[in-house]
Amino acid sequence: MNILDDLERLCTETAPSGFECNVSGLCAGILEPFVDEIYVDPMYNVVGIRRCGRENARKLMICAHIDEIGLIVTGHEEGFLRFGQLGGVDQRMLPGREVTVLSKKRHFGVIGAAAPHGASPESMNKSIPMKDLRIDVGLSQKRAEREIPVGTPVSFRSPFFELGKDCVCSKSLDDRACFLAVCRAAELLKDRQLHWDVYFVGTISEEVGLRGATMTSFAIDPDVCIASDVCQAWTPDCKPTDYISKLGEGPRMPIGANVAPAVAHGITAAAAEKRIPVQITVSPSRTGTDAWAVQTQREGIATAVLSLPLRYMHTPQEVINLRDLELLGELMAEFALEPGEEVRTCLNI
Amino acid sequence: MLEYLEELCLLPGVSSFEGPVREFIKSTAMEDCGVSEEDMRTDIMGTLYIVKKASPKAVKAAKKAGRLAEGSIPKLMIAAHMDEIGFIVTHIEDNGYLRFACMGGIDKRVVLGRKVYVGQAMVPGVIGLKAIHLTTKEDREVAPDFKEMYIDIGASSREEAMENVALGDEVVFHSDFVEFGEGRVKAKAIDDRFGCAMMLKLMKEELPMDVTYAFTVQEELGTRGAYGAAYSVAPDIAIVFEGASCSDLPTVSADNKITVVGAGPVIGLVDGGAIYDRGLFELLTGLADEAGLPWQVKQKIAGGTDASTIQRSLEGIRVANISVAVRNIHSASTIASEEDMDNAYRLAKLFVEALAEGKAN
Repeated sequence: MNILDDLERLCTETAPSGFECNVSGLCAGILEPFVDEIYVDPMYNVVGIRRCGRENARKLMICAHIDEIGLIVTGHEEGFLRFGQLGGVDQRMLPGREVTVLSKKRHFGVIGAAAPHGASPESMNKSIPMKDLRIDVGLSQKRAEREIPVGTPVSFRSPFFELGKDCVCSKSLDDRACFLAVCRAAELLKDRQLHWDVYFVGTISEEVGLRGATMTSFAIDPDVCIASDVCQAWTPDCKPTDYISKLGEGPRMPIGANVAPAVAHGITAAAAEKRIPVQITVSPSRTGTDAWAVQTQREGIATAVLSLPLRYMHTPQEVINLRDLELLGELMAEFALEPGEEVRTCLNI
Repeated sequence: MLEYLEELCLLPGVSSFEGPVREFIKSTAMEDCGVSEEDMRTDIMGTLYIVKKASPKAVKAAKKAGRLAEGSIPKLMIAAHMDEIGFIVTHIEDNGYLRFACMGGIDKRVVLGRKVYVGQAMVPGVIGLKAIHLTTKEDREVAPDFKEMYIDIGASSREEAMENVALGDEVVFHSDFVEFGEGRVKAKAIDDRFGCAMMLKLMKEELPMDVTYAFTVQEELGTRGAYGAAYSVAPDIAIVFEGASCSDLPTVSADNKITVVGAGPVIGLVDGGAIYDRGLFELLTGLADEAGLPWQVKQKIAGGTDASTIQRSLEGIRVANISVAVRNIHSASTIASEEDMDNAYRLAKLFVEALAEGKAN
């Protein structure tokens, strides 16, 4: 696979939470060459399977979510659109923001910003509440109502580009970059003998409540699950307690209640074996990733989280480092091949 | 009217860095508008002057139709500014991040999470924004100050950053050119590449009088190029083509909308910088009415144009103004109506012909 090309294709596709149908096919297409079986379930989760050949084999699930934050049309006003949010959207970045309205015939739009001319300085010190913002699609009220029904999803529109030597900047790197790392792990495992069946999963609607992970982990019933998601990387406006990783210093793994110690030990050993740097941090309770939902599925599933450091999360211009992405894929592949003594004893593999 | 507009808007030309725009205008004027190197001059600050003589054919036709003034024809200057709002690099941090200041009046609420280009080498960068997860509701109710913002160019140290950028580099917004909706266009810098495009298009026409075109600099920093232009051209009449501020959102009360996109060209009456010549205002509105063109005036005293400086230059100069309403003005995603621009152009041409006819004497 070509990481940069595939990443651009994944990130520029539009799939706000609940509307993943646009991206599932693309995800499946990238994953397909590396797996024995592949399907997209009725909820648009993407599942690729590598079989180890054993009967009643143990199962490892590696997942990343394929939805993105976005907006949804809630009404029309003088041809402008009112909207609500899908996932956590920061109102401070909305004025003047370009969007793609995902109606049957797509429309370009800009979230209107009143002119600064004549505005009071006090008013300009405040951000504008989302309820007071409107999307300008350049249409009359009649056409807007006809062509863009209420409930139409809206995706942020921003360029995908390379930044500096190793970074890329785009919308939706959260979490398509991790999905691509999952695909990269699958590629590295191609033709390798496995101890267990490995399920590579793209989950839907993580941003609105870890929904796809809930469904797919029930359906797959894995013994172990690694959820891969992005994590906060340092930026100049961070307090020391804000960030948990630095860009370009390798994938990050949290330790805490959401992470099974045996799995964490296996990952640490795999990283040491392959000399992959891992940024270890502590997440006492909720990790805010799919692993949180997967852990309590069925009788309980042994989960861990592997994260990709990312700057400016939930903006249309997130930044990641491509070396981190590659190392993340390598680490997941290495764990799948050699999950460590504790996990193997536990699962008898 | 979209002719030239797309190319002009895509060019970088932050105030005092207008070079790329000026070069495009010079080469286009020579290729398309029948002017030569001798007809052009650039002053010390960078304002470009192009003199286009009356077309003998147009003069003859006007004379024949009885539409040429018997006596003298006023000396006309048409002005539009080449510069656009942007930023300048003020500091490079040890960690490779850039700090910046504004060039022109930018609303700090429209820049977060935007792609930009730094310096002549157009190094891509992004204006960062702390992740929503790391903020409180109270944090998000405040618009961060420019001094808290930074540009990420993907460099991990000061040394790495300085391989590609330097203090004092200009920073320009990224924004493509999009036609959308019912005859709308979106680009950066429609304020005032629209005016530059109008001047180039007018320069192509066969007009019955001499016109001096002034493509000014640093308008966004206080109409600073217009000083030299008014002084050196010393016209009898100056008309300024501009992008007008516009807040015509449904959430803004009628008295604060200033102008409305799609309601026709904006004819200068009063704005934050000038009280336009009453006779020229009436000439413009009369011409528009006669031709059946819609027009509007600003419904709030806000914004300004190069006319503010031109009007009070020398012994005073009669000024007029045709603008189009520009939504999201001074952001990366400015929007205007194609129909407004077409009508503005028709009106501008009628205005020049009327001056030749002596209607402003």
